[in-house]
Amino acid sequence: MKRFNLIFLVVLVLSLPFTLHLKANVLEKLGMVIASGYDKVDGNKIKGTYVLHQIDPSSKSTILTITSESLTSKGARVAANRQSHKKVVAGQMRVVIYDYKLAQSGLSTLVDTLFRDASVASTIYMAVSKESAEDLLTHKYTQFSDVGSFIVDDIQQNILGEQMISGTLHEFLSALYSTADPMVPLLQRKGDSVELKNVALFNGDKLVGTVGPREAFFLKTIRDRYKSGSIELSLATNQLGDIAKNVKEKTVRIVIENIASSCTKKLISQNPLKFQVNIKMKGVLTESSAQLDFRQVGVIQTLQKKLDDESEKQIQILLKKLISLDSDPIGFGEFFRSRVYHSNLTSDKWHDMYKSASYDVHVDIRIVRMGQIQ
Amino acid sequence: MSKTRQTYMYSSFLLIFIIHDAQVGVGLPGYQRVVYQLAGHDAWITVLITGIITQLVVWMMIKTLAKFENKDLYDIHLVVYGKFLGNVANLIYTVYFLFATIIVMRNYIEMIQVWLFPNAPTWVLTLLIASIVFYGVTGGLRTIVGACFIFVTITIWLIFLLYFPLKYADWTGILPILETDMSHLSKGVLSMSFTMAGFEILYFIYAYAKDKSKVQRYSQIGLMSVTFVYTVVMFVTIVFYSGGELLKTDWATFTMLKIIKFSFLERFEYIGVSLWLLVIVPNLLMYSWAATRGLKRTFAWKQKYWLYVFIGVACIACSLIESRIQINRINNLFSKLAVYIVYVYPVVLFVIVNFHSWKQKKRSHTEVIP
Repeated sequence: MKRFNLIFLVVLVLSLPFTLHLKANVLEKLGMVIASGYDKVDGNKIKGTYVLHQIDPSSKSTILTITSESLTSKGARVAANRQSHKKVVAGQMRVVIYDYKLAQSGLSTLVDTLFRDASVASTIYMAVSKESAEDLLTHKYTQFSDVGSFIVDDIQQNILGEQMISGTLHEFLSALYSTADPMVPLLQRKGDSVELKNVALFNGDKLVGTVGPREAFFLKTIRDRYKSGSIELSLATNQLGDIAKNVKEKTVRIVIENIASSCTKKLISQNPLKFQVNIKMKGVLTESSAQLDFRQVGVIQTLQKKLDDESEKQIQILLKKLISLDSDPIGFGEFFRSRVYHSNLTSDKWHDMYKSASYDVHVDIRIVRMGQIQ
Repeated sequence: MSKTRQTYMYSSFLLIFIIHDAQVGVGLPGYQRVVYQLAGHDAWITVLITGIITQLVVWMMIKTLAKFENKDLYDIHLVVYGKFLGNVANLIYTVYFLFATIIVMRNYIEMIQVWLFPNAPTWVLTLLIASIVFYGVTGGLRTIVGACFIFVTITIWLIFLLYFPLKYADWTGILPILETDMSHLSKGVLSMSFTMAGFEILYFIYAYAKDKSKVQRYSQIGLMSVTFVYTVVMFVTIVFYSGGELLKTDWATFTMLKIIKFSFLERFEYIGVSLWLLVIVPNLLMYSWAATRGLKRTFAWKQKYWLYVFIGVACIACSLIESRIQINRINNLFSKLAVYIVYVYPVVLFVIVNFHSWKQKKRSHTEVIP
């Protein structure tokens, strides 16, 4: 009997390669998608562009770009596979780019397929391209040969350096399926380089507008803890008073490098809907367009006060803009839900309430260092 | 106590590991969605309450067992209910174990098929796991206890992986605390039974513990560790996912692992899913061991022959369950059944046994006096 068990086990293990229907994935025979882009084309179709990495000593280029059209994104990948001499696999995918028009018409089905796929990591970056994603990915850049890796590194570097809001698949889904709204970086090809400039804002799964990098800085400061990154503010000289007596220009431009910041939010009243936003920021003054005498008493204080006022104004404008776009990427809805018992907040209900929201913004910027010189 | 029996005994201390491994099983990878559906963001409180209830039930179980010295549940049934009814009760338990084995096996195979090998046929994977189970159960109880100890120590570090999803945590997720009402909370508690089940194995291994006076203490420590793990995982899940996203995720725990990335390892959940075999094998071992023991006792056939039958039936049943919808339906059915077998019945038995012994005492009392 013992021998029977042993023989049974050996036979079973030996038969595994045949019975499990495993497909061998030989690296040389795979085309690993590193970046994929989707464009909306006429007649409900989707155009997919895939940048593949190929490991092939005989090939001059390490990347291969394929474009295909289909009704669905998975269909586009299958169609791409028909054009490729290597099997197209998505396990190494790092970034997905959707074009502006496609994002405007809604991304939920396209994001759903990524979420469903066990081979796609939750940390892949999502981005929206200003022009077509195909153009972005197929353009022959003179400066770099591998556009896929370039875009990935570009996004990653900027997110890790906290210069750009993070837009991973997980964060997108998390916002999409709650009362908050997603936001992702917006890419734009400028000649022979790719720029990561604005932030695309969504209402649900539909793109509704964009904000610039300065607004993105505030957006990020309000949404989460923020360590680095810098802001550029221009102050009117005549408002600075005594401290800018000798300055001839009309405005003084100040750059503050953010060392640490914290943001607390408070719900002041439910009817009318009013939030309080308190931002505390510690920073280094890295650039000043005017020669100000910082040794003089009160200069720093006056400057800080003006910077506070200026950024409060800017944040108010940003928050108004968000309301007018009907997009809540900061997650005030989630905040409301977490503070009010039995609110039974749904996304639709929140967007109705959101229109009437107003804010009390307090910014407290402290210049703690001024670099090497006074 | 016979000398041969002594060789089958295990140290009571190991109950910590046995209970831990018996409870943590195929439920942990995806219990969050079910509980969240009912209790919302207060799901972690539900898990905590379920843990406390479980400790009460186990306390009663051990009190019941302590009245019978070296008897397991099969013997107790025969003593309490008499021969016919006792055997029926034993058979019900055996069928429950068969059901549990099938459920655990099929759910794990589903995990393998979704995450690792989409094309692998169910019957091959069933056969593979079944042969491990067969090998383990023929080794006897001490092998099973040893497997529990080693497998827990190998896999317990997985809890530290929760650090990675915490980086994406949004703490507003758990607020406001205690928003759900009692009815939803209690429904959530009921839905946890599938995940919590496993400690009923104590009814069958109690007799083999060396130091009976310490069983209570070590079992409770084991239960506490499970409650701790479940609560922490639930807590992290709630802060990591937004509500709607969690409701869309089948294996919330493993989907969380998808964000872990090392420079030498791109996708961590592959390791997680593979390692999970070590967590569920002790489950299967104990269920099959306890069931075949019962069959041997009732029908007087060798345990090994019953093992062939038991595993054969489990394999065939497992291979016949095909789609995700079927699995879900069976899970729901099991979940409902488990509430009665695992939570309600021990309480009922506790009352019956106490009543029984009270009556006996009274009888002997009245007999002595005249």
